[in-house]
Amino acid sequence: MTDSVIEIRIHGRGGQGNVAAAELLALAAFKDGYEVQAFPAFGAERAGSPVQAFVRLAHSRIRVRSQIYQPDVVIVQDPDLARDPSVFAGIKPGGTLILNAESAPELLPRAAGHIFAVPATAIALEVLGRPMPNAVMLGAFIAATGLVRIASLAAAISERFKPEVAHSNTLAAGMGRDRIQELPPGTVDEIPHSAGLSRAAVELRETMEPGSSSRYHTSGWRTSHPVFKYERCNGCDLCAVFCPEGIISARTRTEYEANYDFCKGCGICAVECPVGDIEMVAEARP
Amino acid sequence: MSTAVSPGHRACLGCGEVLGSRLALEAAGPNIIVANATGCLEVTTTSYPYSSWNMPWIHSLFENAPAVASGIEAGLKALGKAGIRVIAQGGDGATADIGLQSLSGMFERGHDVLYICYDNEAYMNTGVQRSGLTPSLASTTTTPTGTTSDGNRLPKKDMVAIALAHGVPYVATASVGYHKDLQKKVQRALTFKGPKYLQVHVPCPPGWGYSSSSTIDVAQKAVQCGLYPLVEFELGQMTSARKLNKRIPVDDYLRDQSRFRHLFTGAAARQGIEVIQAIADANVRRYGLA
Amino acid sequence: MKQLLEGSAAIAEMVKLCRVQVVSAYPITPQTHIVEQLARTISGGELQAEYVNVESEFSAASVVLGASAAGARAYTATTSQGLLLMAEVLFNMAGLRLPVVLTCANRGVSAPITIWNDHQDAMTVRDSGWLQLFAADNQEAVDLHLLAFRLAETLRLPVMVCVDGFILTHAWEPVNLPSQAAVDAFLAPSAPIALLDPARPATLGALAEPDSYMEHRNRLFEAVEGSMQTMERLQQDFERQFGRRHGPTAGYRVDDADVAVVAMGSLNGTIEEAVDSLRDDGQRVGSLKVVSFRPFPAAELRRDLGTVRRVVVLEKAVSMGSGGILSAEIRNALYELPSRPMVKSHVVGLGGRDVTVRDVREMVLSTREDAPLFFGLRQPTAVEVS
Repeated sequence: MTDSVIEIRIHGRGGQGNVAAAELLALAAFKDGYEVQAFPAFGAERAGSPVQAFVRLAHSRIRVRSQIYQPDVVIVQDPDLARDPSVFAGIKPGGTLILNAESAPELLPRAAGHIFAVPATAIALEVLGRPMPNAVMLGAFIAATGLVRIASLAAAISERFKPEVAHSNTLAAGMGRDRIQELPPGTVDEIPHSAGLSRAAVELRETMEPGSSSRYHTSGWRTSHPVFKYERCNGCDLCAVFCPEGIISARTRTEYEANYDFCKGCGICAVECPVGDIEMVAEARP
Repeated sequence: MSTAVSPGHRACLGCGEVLGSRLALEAAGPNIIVANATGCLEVTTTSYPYSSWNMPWIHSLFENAPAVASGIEAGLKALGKAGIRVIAQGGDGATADIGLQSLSGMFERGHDVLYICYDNEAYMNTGVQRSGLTPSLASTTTTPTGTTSDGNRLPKKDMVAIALAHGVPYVATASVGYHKDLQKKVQRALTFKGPKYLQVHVPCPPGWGYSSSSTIDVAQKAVQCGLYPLVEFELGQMTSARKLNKRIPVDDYLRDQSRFRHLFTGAAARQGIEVIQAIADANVRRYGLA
Repeated sequence: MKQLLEGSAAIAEMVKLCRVQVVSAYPITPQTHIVEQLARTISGGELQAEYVNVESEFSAASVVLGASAAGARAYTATTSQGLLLMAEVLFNMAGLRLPVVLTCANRGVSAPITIWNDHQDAMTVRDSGWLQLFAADNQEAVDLHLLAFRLAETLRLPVMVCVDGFILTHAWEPVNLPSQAAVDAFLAPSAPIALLDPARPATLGALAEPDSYMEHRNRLFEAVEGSMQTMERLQQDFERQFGRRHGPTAGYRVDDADVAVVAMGSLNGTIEEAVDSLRDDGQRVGSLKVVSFRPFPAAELRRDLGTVRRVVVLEKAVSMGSGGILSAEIRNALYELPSRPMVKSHVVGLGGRDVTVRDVREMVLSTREDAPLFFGLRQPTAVEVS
């Protein structure tokens, strides 16, 4: 790796436009004359699950195609993800973190030279009408790093989207650039290197234990969760029947509860409750 | 927790397919073996080392779940193991396209297997490409709308008729929106010896383009507008067809889904909707749903 | 007791003696005689088994996969296009570690279509994780099937017994078939464990992400490569009980040879005849039969060929754009020797082209290193390409 390559790692959840963010950033940089590379890390996971995308910028040909383990810049598109410091793993000393956050997460790496926050979800809701933070985060990236011109990002957005979508996303990017705030330096010295694959032993068997996925929690996927009000429940059981995770059960005949280790926040239970006794409540933001 | 499908699977928010499979297999009860085709249902539930399945379950390939199930059934017979029911399951592509020959063989040979097709009307695992069960005029990533296209120009393959033509003793359709009907049909199917075919409509929020909370609502509207008739055939005779007590125009079903959004805009907007309404009307006449 | 039987019938009889419980196959020449006889045996009540008539080789392989997972002893047979149609299932069965036994009545592959013998079919699926054993005659074909079931169930790996189509499958030869009691003594009459069992539910067929796929594949690699030790133990068992041994390699007058002829399958008899005739002429020639192609007997080849000057490989398959497949693997194995013999490959017998003693003599005596890869090509007259 030559030092002249700038490596950017984007963390988000499936459905937050992570791959699009990487592609737009690469396209904007390309327009600015960089050699660029953008690629996703595909898993078997679906909308809502943590995903990564990678961008490299340089002024000479980029040859390496491995994932990025020592990023110059980390963009975290999802506020919940920033609560797990492993997303910052490997950040270069003096590197830049850009977080979608209303306030500073507790555990931030000391190695980072600059840490920025932007309320990207709130801006996206305001400008786009949906919680799609990617354009806002790219605007914040430009303000934080100065690596790419905002006009190039706007041109990239126009090239990729239909005019009305492009317009609102360009607006969102501009607000991201303007509303970025620098946070105090981080305090965490050691960050587990979970972005790389450990050489620890893997247990290998031809068969898998029945029901063992219940050791894998999917609570981190959700942006809202159901609250059971216990006011009008008639015990119809539909919330339990129609839960795709199968994790709603009756404690008493008219008191249901969800296992929040698994709830992904799809909202079916709230829609199907015939008496309006379930309310979806947004996850608390860090 | 479910006796059939445990949580911790990686299906999308509001996934109709994993819900449909949980409801069906809970109804099937214990003492079953399941053979699963490749697809979302398989990929999201068996990421090593974690399985969501609570019964003996095997995934081999995309196109061979019916043959694998046939082999399991033959093996059980050879071993003299009675009382274990074999269920094969797959998505619409595995069923109606790549696995159709294998399914035809399983039907024809009369294996005592219940085959459940979870129909979300496209190849969702690979990113919403058209399958043989994609409905007319739906936009998919391989039938995109454009200046020369209104989406999928081919009709939805009639798997019920194909199953009936094989003399399959129990053939039915169900919907994840009508869970009691779905579960009753699974249990009814398992009272028959020989092959059984059950096709369950399972909406897909990202693939169809609607909010994850609306899966059940969308599924119910598909039935109520006549596009997804819930029918049941025993020994070749239709024994039930769910009446449309709250019949709605197809508009009400199509409107919330981005795969049909193009039918509501532009100069020729109504034409496509009329084509789809005619399909619903034909279903109503054919199965006496009114 | 020795009986005069057609090769296919002898194989079918041995498969019956192995008490298979599920047979599934799709007809394809020259495999048909084997499965027809098995179907008759089952119809006649001589064998308690399910015979599943399928609509393709793809389903035949899938049916035996399912049956094996359910705990039944399962068997199929095919060749050529049928084996290629099974290819996806073959890799899958090996990955799932299912102890299925398959007879490949070796035949060339299309186009142009041929129904006659060569080894292109089996060699094309050599990387699937199946053990592959090649029979030189019908006695070996019969014995290898018994060994195959025991190997498969001991190692939990599928085993393919390769038998030259027509040349062996349709040839009548005296064969010593063991008694049922003798077979039962070598191969437990009961089926292996059932992986799919409601009493002990388990999930088979995981999705492996990049964090474990390599480890799973390495595990399969080690199982197949390490199967040589188990093979040796079972060969000794077999020899103790039946007085015969089948590889993994077998030499003929090779100990003091300058030149060794190496081949798989039915060519070996013809080669041995040629060796004798060359020895009569004063040539120090021997031969080496490769019975086990997977696992590949690299150590045995180094042992057996370490002292010869020249190795002449006669092979019935070719990797287009590269060359002989068996010879490439032999060169690979011999490369580690401090002094390596020359290895010359001759592609012979494709699509049923006959190979005679005189042909073998000619190939051995030719010292031209630039001889064409394909042996004995007819000279084209006017070739027109339109």
